[in-house]
Amino acid sequence: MIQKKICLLGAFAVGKTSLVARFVKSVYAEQYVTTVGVKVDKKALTLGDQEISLIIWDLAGEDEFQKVEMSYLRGAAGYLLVADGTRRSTLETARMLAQRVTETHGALPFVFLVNKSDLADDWEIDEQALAECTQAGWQVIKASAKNGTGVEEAFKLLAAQLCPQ
Amino acid sequence: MSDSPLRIVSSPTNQTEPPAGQSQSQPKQDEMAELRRLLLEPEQTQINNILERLNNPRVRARELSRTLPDAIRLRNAQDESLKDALGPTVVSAFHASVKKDPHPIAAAISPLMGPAIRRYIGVAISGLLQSFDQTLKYSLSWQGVKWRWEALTTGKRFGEVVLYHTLLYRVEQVFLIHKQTGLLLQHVAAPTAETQDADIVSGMMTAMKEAIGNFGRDSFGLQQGETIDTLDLGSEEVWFEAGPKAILAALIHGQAPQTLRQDLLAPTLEAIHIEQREALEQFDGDNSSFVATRPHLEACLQSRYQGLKDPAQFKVPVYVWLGLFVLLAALGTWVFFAWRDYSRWQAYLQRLQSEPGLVITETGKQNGKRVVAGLRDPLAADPNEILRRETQLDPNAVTGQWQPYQALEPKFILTRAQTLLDPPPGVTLSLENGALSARGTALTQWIAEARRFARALPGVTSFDDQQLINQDLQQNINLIEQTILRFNSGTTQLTGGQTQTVQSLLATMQQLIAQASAVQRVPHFELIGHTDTEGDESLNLKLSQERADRLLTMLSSKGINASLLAATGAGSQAPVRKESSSADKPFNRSVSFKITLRSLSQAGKERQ
Repeated sequence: MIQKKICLLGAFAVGKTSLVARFVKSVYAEQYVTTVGVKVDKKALTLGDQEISLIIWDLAGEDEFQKVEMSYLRGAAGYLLVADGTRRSTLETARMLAQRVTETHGALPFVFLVNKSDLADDWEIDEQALAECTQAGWQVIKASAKNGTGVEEAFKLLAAQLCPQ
Repeated sequence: MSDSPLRIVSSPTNQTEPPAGQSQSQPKQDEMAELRRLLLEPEQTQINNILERLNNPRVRARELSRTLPDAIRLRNAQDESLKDALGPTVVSAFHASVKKDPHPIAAAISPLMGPAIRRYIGVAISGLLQSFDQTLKYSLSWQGVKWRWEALTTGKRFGEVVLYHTLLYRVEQVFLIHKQTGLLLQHVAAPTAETQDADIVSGMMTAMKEAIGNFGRDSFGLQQGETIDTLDLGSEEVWFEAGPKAILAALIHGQAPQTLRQDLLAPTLEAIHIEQREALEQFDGDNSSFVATRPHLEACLQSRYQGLKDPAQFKVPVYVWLGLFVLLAALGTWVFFAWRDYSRWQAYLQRLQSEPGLVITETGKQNGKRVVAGLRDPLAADPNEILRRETQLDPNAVTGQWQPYQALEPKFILTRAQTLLDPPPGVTLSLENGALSARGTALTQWIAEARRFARALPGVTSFDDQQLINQDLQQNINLIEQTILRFNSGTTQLTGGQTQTVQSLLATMQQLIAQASAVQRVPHFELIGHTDTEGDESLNLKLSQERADRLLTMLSSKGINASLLAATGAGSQAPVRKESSSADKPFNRSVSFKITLRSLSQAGKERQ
């Protein structure tokens, strides 16, 4: 079985840990627990006839006091860039993080996941903003860790790029 | 169907149409239909779609399948009722599946069960061996007594307490980690170690090492290139040994000496780098080729205990040897007495088995006593007597349970015959191949009874009385054979005064015939005529024959069956009395009797 390290990057409280919990264990917890440092998890997937084991590094979110430590991305095959649809600022953070990753580790494959699609009415990131991302070559997926929409799709989309058939 | 879309649309038309003149109203009807179509078509299409969705089970199932996962999640988030509702169904489905074919379930859980069972057995055996070594040493010391008290008060096994106090260190797990990615290349664990998912642990350790390294650089000015080589987790430590391409992480319980790193971890990592150089450089997530590194890693799973560095130094105290000797002596004594008792018992059983008239059917122990059960002929030897006289077993410790039966050994058949037939003195009984023989002299009545009862005796197939002399018969034979009937000289005329003798002779002969018949015999009377020595012998011979014939005719006429009689003349050659004087001569002018007893068959043949 092939193993691939992937990282989850994004601003704080965008739902990275919840996305991992939803993807790995199919659960969702209402209460928010902030991630300190890194949390590593694992999930096996089957893509076509190939089995792949994703070692998922869930990195602590970026805020004004704490920067994402880029050294955690060493050896990562790709990453999931996460933003919170209800907070416009998280899109900017995502853009900045993507740029820093490229600067430190080169152009790694990534998928941009906009979380909290279950709260669509409260979204600040509009379709135009998302269209700009798409135009920039990003793969954008709207998802919800709470109800599971788009989560597996996003992980599988990333995994497919890590081991092209 | 009453609620079909066609019926809804067409029903007003049916009500407004006149019953007659249909051809004239046709254009109107078409217009109405067209009007209806123009006015109601969008709603009609929607109604049709809704009805189609409601009525088509496949469509409903498809729609339900879209919303079912979310519905389940929503309900689960609300309360536990979905689990309560589904629980019994899932359990019964599981039961039904196992009952129908247990293999799929077994195949599904076997990846979990196999390692779990192996691990449990490994832990049990390893724990047993380790605790045995240690327990042997420490259970015999003052320290051992203290630890035993500790085990008693804490509820732990004594072996565990000993291990806890004597364990210096143990390498519980070793991880080989790809340096660049932090991905796990290979992992080994001691059989007793608690392990988590090694892939995740590997990632976490790499992340932790990275984080602490960053922290060290940020806070204490740690130089780039300087790395963290030890994580202290309280009672455990993680030792990192970093190479150019891979990191060796060893989870160690206790305090290991630094030499472990130099003498074991570093050389192991070097060897792996040399052997797996290409695989390490080209690593792309596939760790299958690193299985070959397992022997290296397993060699690192070392442990050290106090006092076990040199087992040769450990000496068993003298009192232990003494105790062991006393124990062995007691055991030996017990074995000896048990063996002697057993031998005596076996000898007694063999003795009983060899005794005629005893059959052993069961032996065993009951309430601490030895028991022998079987069959015993009342004529056989008493087992209790044999026990008392011939063995050294305690009679009170043996119970005999004997059922009576009749043994068919010759000895018992003969004894029973002796008891039942009660032969008179002078008669002896003997047995050969089931044939009972009687020999000697007995009365007619006894002989007749013996003949009747002998055949009814178990084990007796025939009764032989050929050698038995009938006492009554013999008396009468003697009486007749002693009788002499005298004749006048030169004639066949009986001398006078012998009527009584003839009467008596006839009666005796009749009696003899009857007695002989009772014992299946036929008497044969030979009448022998005699003469004195006077005159010519040829005439004497003739005269003697005539005397015998005369008596035969007489006896026959008196009722004696002629076939039982025979007459011969002996002349003067077989004198009844030696003629010493003339007084002897009258005795030789006579007829004497000779009687033989013949069997019925013999007599029959002769008659023919």
